[in-house]
Amino acid sequence: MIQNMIEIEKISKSFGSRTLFEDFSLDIKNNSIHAIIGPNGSGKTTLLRMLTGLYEIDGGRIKSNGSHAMLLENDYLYEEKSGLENLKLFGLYFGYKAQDYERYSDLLNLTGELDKRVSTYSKGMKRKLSLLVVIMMNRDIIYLDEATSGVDPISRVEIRKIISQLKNDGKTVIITSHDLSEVEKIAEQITMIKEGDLVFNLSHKEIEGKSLEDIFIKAGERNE
Amino acid sequence: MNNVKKASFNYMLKSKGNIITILTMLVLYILVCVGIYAGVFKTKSEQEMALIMYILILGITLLIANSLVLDLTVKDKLSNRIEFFLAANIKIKDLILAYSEQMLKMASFVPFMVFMTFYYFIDFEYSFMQIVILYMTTVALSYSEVLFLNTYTFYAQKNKLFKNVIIFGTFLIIYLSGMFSKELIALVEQFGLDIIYVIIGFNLILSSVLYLVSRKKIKDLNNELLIKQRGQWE
Repeated sequence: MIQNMIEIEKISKSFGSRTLFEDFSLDIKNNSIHAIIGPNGSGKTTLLRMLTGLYEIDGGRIKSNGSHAMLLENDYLYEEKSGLENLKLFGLYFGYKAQDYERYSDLLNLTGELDKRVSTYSKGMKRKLSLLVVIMMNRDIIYLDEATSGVDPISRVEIRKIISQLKNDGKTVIITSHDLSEVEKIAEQITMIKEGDLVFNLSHKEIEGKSLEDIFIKAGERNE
Repeated sequence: MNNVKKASFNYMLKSKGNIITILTMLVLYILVCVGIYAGVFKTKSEQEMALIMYILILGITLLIANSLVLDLTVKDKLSNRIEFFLAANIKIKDLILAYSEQMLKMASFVPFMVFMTFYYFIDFEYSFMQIVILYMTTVALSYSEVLFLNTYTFYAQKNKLFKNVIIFGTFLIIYLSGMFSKELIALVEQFGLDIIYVIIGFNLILSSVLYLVSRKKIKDLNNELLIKQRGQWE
């Protein structure tokens, strides 16, 4: 069995004269829930974009041992179509059949809403439908960029449940989030980055009994 | 790539906007048929009829294709769907080529009927091969234009302006060619040429230029550029 699903070795990335990542290394374990946290502009989304190949790295190496899909921070659904039509259409793009989705849509409390037009959905419902599309793609690695941002508390719980289910199904899930309490509840490994630097990389056991918020603030101050 | 072809064709087939555009062009086609039947074009020479057929085939293809580009490619770009596709390993080159092929397929239905109607009901003295070459090179030009439109969508920042330029330009060409067909043919004849050869030459040159420019632009596109080039509708 593969130990690491993703190996990031000394990668660097610059935008014009601004260097964001330099000699950045990180391993992401197979079949784990790995959170990447950091303040705004710390490079979380850029890191995901490098991992998914959206951005080319300037140096270093990324070794990925599986296929991937990414839930973007912004919505990209077909607003004029129903939830089910979205599921079917994305299914044509990615080669899956819109069958047996109830297992996940029930967990997301979305099954009864799939006949409605997406334009009538709340932000939380749109996030859940986007997540359902990503799940149906059946990729080994699932990147979730701010999956719970702007989502109501009930939907957050549902999204957390489905992330746990994905791990049980053998997937590797990488999430970025601003919400530390959310991350504390679900992640097995937590990596904090700031302006492209790795500030800490701790397992859930290592932070047990401590406040992630305190660790986050202290580590942030130390890194300034 | 086959998945993208299947998905895009399915999307276009079910889009109300596209269905309305195709039906409008079908009405235009029926009006042309009625015109032919009623002898409206009786006074027109063989060359003029070839020119009218050419303008109708190209114009209708472009109007439908432009509507398809707006409904699919532009919406994909403005809604961030492109980023989602790219992040799931769909290559932009494959996407543009698949979209262009499917759009041409969908936009060619009515123009093909125009071609068949003219071929059967107009007594052309041109040989079968000459007419077929005229049609095939027009299809080649249509494909290059669709490819160009799809590619340029990812470079354009003001997509509404881009749309208006294409639609207005196409209508203008159709109108001017219809109005001044006689003068155009007379001009060509001054050089001892037949209009059909001029059209074939024009098709070959313009389709090659648009195809090569598009391929060069596709080669220059990368994921990073696509994400930065957000574009806007207004």
